[in-house]
Amino acid sequence: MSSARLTRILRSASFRLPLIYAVLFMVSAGALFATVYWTATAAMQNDMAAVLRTEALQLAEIHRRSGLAGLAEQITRRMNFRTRGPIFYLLQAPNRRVMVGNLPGMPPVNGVIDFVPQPDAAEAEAEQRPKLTGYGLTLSDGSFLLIAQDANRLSDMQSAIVRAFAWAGGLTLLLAIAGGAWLGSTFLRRIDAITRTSSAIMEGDLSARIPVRGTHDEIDQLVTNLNAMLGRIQQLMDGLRQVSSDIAHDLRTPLGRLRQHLEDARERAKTTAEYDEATDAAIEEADGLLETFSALLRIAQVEAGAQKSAFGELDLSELVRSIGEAYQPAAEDSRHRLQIEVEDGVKLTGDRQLLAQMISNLIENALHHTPEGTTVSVGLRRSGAGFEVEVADDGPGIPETEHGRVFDRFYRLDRSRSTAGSGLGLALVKAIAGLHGLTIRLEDRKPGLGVVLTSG
Amino acid sequence: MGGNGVKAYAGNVDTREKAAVKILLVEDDKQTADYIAKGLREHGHVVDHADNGRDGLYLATGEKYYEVLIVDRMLPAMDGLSLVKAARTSGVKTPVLFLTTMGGVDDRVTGLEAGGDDYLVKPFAFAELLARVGALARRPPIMAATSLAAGDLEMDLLARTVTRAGRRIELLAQEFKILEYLLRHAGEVVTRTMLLEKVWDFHFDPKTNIVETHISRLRSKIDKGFDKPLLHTVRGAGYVVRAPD
Repeated sequence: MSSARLTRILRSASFRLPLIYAVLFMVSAGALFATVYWTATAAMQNDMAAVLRTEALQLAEIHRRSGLAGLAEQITRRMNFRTRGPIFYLLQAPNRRVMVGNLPGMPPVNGVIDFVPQPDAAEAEAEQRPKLTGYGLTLSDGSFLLIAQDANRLSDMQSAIVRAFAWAGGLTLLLAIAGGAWLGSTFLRRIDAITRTSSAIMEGDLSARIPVRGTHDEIDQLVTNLNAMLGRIQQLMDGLRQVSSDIAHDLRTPLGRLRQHLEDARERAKTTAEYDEATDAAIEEADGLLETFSALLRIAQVEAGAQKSAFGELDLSELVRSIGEAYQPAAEDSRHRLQIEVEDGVKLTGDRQLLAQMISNLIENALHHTPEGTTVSVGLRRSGAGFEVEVADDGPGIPETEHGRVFDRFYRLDRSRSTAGSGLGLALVKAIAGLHGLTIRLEDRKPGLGVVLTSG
Repeated sequence: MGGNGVKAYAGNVDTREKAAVKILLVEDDKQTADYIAKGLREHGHVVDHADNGRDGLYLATGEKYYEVLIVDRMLPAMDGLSLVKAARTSGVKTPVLFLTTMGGVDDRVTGLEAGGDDYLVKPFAFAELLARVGALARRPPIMAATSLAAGDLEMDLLARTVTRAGRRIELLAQEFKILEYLLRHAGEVVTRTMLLEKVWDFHFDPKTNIVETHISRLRSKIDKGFDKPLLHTVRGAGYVVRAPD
């Protein structure tokens, strides 16, 4: 692990976070330690005092029954048969003479006392003198009884608690730092993967994707979403590229023809009529080109969702019916049957112009791409909470495999290549439907094609 | 989409009995302005030109009386919308024809809201501009006429009946609307695009000959069996209903 990488790990959020938690844990462990320490100490002190007091009261009872001599004898016996821990005794006569015991004489004190026994000349041994906790009791005849216990038991317990907490705390801190470093480096590796991918994309490799670990954790989810987003962007970019090349390709032909007509006018026209004919043809080409541009612009505007300003409440039934009627004579002239079945009173909030163009485009599409004798039906009916607009025909239909592409810009079926049309009509239909929240569906009517727009 | 893609291009519009219209053209592009002014003058109209919005407003609200204002939407110094709003605020009632660039679907709505009367999308066929200027200059006063007539053809707007030489003619609703519009503009050329806009409220260019097929049915109903036709096609421009001489 290089030092630069170590610095990065130390700076990384996933390392600092466990570290902060470790510190917080240490603080709370410290509080716990203090509580345990003081509680245990107090409990032990109480316990020791209670033991000494019980012993003292028992001996006082013996003194009351058997007198000082009996007590001395009892103490001697107990000193020889100690059952729990080293217990020290002192029995002083009223004249302060030590009658029995293994503690040096001292002035009588009643109750709990902590003391270090004063060295007795006789017992000046090298043995270190322990700190004692005792319980003093002045008996009824003025003699003094002291029972004591080694106070080091308490400090032993206290240092045991300190040691236990020191080990546990140190281990926790160590684990937190190691774990943080491990988490940090794992996290960093995954972030690095994302950074590498985005760099690759910035350098032009649009197909680069971030590897997914398959653990389905949050980062995986993020990566999956990022990849999906990248996929969508790539799709849009491809679409854009496709549209650009389609535009170039689709406009080259009419521009070429336009040039041809102008050349004709200049080089070959000998009479005014010939000249008019050539320029008229050129103007027609130019108009067609302008129409294509205007349709492209309109699709772009509608797709950008910038058209909602013209939205208003409108009667869709009336709109569909009047458009249907507008096409009736044209349909008859091209020997199609146009059937209009419209349910009354379907209302909609939308852009009247755009909806009119959408329905017109669908009807024109059906009329232009089906042979004579075909029936084209235009329908509007309620369906569930919404409505359905349908433009269907019983013509040759389009292959199911092409269904997904007919709404693309400039898409034209091979058999339609020779007929007039920009290949933008259905792309605009799709854009307008999208703006109005309508879903569009193609149905194979066997024979024929149905285009169904559904609200909601 | 206004006049865009109109298949009318020959300039041989019938100009007889057309009085000169006094027009103010506010257009910054010199080439376009020259093209429009030259064409309008050739058809006997009087054209003043301003190449920015401020001068345009100055002229529109000045002493000189204009019958039609042609205003480009995009202008230096003051845009077309502001110009027309300001002119309307200061009491100018002259009909306004907006010129817009293609693609702006909302342009029509905002233009009408600002006080415009009609709009035309650039680039347009000159015949389209000429027809619209004519229609605006001769806009009939807004009054509740109950009947319209041309020659021996009569239209009763209340009973919604049409007779010619006293003989009843049955028309479908859309045919009635076309004839009504043509009669209101009797003697003037009405373009295909104008009919699409006024009769069907279509502001785009259908690829289907909707207008032609309706006109042919209307013609067969009102002119068939009569010596003198009323409904004429003006080649390259549109249609006109004219009483026989």
